[in-house]
Amino acid sequence: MFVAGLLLAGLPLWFLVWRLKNQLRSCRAQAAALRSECHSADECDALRAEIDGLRAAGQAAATEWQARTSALAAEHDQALQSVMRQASEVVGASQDSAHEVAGAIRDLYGIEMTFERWHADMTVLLAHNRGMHAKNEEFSLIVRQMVMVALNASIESARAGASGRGFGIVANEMRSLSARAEALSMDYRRTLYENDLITTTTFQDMQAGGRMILGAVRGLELTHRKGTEATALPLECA
Amino acid sequence: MAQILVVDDSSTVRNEVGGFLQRSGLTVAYAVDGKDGLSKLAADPSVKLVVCDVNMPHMDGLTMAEKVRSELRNSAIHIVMLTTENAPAMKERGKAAGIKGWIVKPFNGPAVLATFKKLAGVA
Amino acid sequence: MISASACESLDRMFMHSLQSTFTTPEGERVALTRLAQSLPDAGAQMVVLMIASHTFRLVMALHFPQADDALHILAPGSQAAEASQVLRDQMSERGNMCCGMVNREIGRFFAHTGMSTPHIIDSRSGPFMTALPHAYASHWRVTIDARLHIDASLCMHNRTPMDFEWHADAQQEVTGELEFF
Repeated sequence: MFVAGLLLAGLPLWFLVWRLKNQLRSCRAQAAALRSECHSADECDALRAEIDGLRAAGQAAATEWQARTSALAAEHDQALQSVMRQASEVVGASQDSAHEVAGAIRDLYGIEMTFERWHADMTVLLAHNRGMHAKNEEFSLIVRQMVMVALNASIESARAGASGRGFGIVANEMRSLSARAEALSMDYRRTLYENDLITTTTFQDMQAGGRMILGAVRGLELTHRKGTEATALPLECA
Repeated sequence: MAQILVVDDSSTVRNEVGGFLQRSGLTVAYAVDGKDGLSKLAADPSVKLVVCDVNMPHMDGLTMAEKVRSELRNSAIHIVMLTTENAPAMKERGKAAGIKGWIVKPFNGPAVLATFKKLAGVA
Repeated sequence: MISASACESLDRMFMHSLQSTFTTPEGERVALTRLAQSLPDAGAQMVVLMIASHTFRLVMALHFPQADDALHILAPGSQAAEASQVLRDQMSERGNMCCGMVNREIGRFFAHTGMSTPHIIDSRSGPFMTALPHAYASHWRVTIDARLHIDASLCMHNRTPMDFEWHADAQQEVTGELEFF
């Protein structure tokens, strides 16, 4: 009974002690925490000081960055203005060149008048060739008549016998000359046909060559026109 | 007063093309080269369609087409080239001169008649 | 210098253009025979055309007999009074079309070419074609029918080496149709 009573009386005491111990433990923990807090507080100060320092550095950096950005933007604008100016100058110069090229192309088209003149010249030459053919034909006719006359003269001189001997010699000479004239006329006719071909092919070479040149000029004009249209577009920058 | 002008230095082509179009009920005028073509167009504003060769003496067909636009200031008339040429550069120049179409010879009347009638303003 | 391939290609182009320009009275393909030289009939005339570039000139000649048959076949229905002029016009236009076709095809290999207008001279000028400077020449007989043949000659003079290859079946050409712009 005594032991039970002792146990019963000690229970609150034990409970109290337990509570006190807990409190003590708690206090100790708090004290420890406080002590560590006191340690972090130094750190905090240091961190705070560091943060302040960093903030200051950051602000300084931001200020410097802003200054640099402004400077860069100003440089960029300046450079862009300079490029735009140069581009305008180049476009202006190329437009001036384009006017000159357009003028040169117009002058080149004047070559068409040269080709027309050549065409007219060659038409005259071909007509002249036809005239030479006609004259040669006339000469041929005369030569054939000479041959006939010479033949008749030979016949008559043979009929005249001895008294016609002198005449016969003249007649023979005439026949010989007529034969030579006839050969020459035929040779000349061949030369005229050769001349016709040379004249025609020469003229056609000039005509076809001229058309080839004009074709190339037209191609140049088209290229030039496309280039002019491209340089006429306004320069823009965002 | 003609609906169609046929321009070619070859009388064979003029007769072939013009004859076919006339037999098909169209009124046709003729010119022998670009210069003649321009003067015929200036004299007869009723022409709606020009069928034109390229290679001709005095003035070629493409130059004539350009002058129709620039000197006669006629942008309404339709111009179709009928030629042995087919070079892309030449067609480019034709397009730039405002021509409507290109036919490589020989002429095939039945293949193009309906289109020609439409271009000439005939139903 | 002109390569064998270029010579053969020129011959193929010429044959193709001759067969496109001429048909028999029945509308069939004409027969072509190679000749050592053209042998035009007496009294024939020739239409001459040229294709020129910086580096070459190509002469083409077609010989037409001055016969009624020629007129009846090439220009049926034409009046007798104008026969001579009609035949000359037909000659010029056929020559123009034949040469034009060769000009188009050779233009695939040479950027800038020009073609002349046709000119008619006496066929007795024909033999002198090969007396002009040239690197290659070929002669053909186009048999339209039993009554009519046309001799054709091609003569190439080049100033720089020439080499290309052309085949008819590789090319697609549309003639007679309207290409709209």
